[in-house]
Amino acid sequence: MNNSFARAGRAFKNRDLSAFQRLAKLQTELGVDYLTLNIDGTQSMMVRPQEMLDFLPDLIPAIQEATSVPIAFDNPSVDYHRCCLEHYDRSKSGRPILNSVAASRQRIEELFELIGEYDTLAIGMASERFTPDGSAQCLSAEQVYESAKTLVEKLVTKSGRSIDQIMIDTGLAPVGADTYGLVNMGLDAMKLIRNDPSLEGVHLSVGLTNFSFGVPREIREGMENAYLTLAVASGLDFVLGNPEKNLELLAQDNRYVEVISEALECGRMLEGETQEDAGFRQADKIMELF
Amino acid sequence: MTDYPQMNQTLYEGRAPLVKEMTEKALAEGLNVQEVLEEGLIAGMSVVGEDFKHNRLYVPQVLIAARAMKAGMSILKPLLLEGGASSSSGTVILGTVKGDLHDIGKNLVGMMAEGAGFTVVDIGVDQSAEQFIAAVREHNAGILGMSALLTTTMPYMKVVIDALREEPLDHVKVCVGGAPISEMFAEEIGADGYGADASRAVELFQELYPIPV
Repeated sequence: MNNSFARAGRAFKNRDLSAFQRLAKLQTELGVDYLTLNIDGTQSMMVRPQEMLDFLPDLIPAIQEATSVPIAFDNPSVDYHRCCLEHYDRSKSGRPILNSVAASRQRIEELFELIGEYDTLAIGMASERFTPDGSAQCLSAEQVYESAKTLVEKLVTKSGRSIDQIMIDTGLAPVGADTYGLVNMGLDAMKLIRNDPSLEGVHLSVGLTNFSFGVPREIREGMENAYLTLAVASGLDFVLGNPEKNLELLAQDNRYVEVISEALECGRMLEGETQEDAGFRQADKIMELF
Repeated sequence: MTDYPQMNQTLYEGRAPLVKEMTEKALAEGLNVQEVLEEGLIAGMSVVGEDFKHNRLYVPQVLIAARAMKAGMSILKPLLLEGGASSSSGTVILGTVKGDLHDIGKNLVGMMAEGAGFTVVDIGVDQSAEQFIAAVREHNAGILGMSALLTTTMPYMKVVIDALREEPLDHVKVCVGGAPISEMFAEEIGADGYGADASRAVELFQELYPIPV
């Protein structure tokens, strides 16, 4: 449930609790493990932080009335999460997810505290890394892997999480505009994480719709499923996706899987060229699906 | 003889080596550098922008066309700099605000703005008001473009605008964009414009600071 999708956006705009309940029921019937709740502003709707905080105390009990599936609270703000957790009834729906902690988060220490205090599952964004003067984007699979280790270590020591209460998001970029090689970086990092016995049991997750951003609507689902197929083979076990799409693993000889695999190979930097050159080649290959 | 419509079409199709070759050939024929830039490259890229806006072209195609534009520009740029043709009003500073490390959308805006003939200085992610202002001064830019992808970082856009308005930099136009940013938010923080996507952002730059042709 995210304001950038039409029905959720309308439900929020009208502060329509029953519309949220209908969405929650529908997604529950579609078999989701967690319901993501994001009521951020979008390009067509401005939402002030206070407006979210005013609505959440009504919205969360309403969703919990409609379904017993736990909620994944999706926002970068500590105040949002605190408000959500204060109004979430654990006895009805089990342990919720706090999505997400990341190196760049303002007041990150408070987020760690909140996760411990409310005993939540946590998503950590490993696409960002901690640096001596703050944070930076990861630019290699090794950096993503190192960042995953740091996040796990912090969530264990600061928030008292066990490893299997942690999900690491290795990052996923639009494959057609991937001039940093982020898609390959994420997949390679998943393999590094899965090969590290000290990280055994950690879950891996990505925001799937990012992958197919900016391509024709009719091929988005096929592309997302192809990514899913490749990523699950690399160790992915959760995905933040649209349950109304027909998400499924494809056969290795499926055309989408073949083209996406080839495109990602094209996206690997050759000697003497920049990552941007490789990203252009990757985009070129993706266009075969158009 | 150089055929500009054909050159535009080649650029539109993203055939970088061929665009580079055509640019070299046009210059060898003695055509004016500025003319080759405008008629051969920018005119092609503007069709790309228009078609992207109307969903006739998609993100990978824009990227490939931008690569072709770059190939042509690699020939023209040294000559343009030599001739002192770059205009300060056509310089755009781009950056993502402090605390925010997202930059894919901003990069796309940069590529399309270059394709439209602007000089783009991308100062990167996680930029403070001081860094934005220093870049505007250093490059004597006419436009400042800011991006934010998080609800927690978007308020920083107002901090930058307020700081900019305290400087004698009134002529600088500020444009904002990013997933949680709306027209209403842009107005509220005192930005001069809002770009919902990369092609709209470039249109906005053109409206605010038309490059003298």
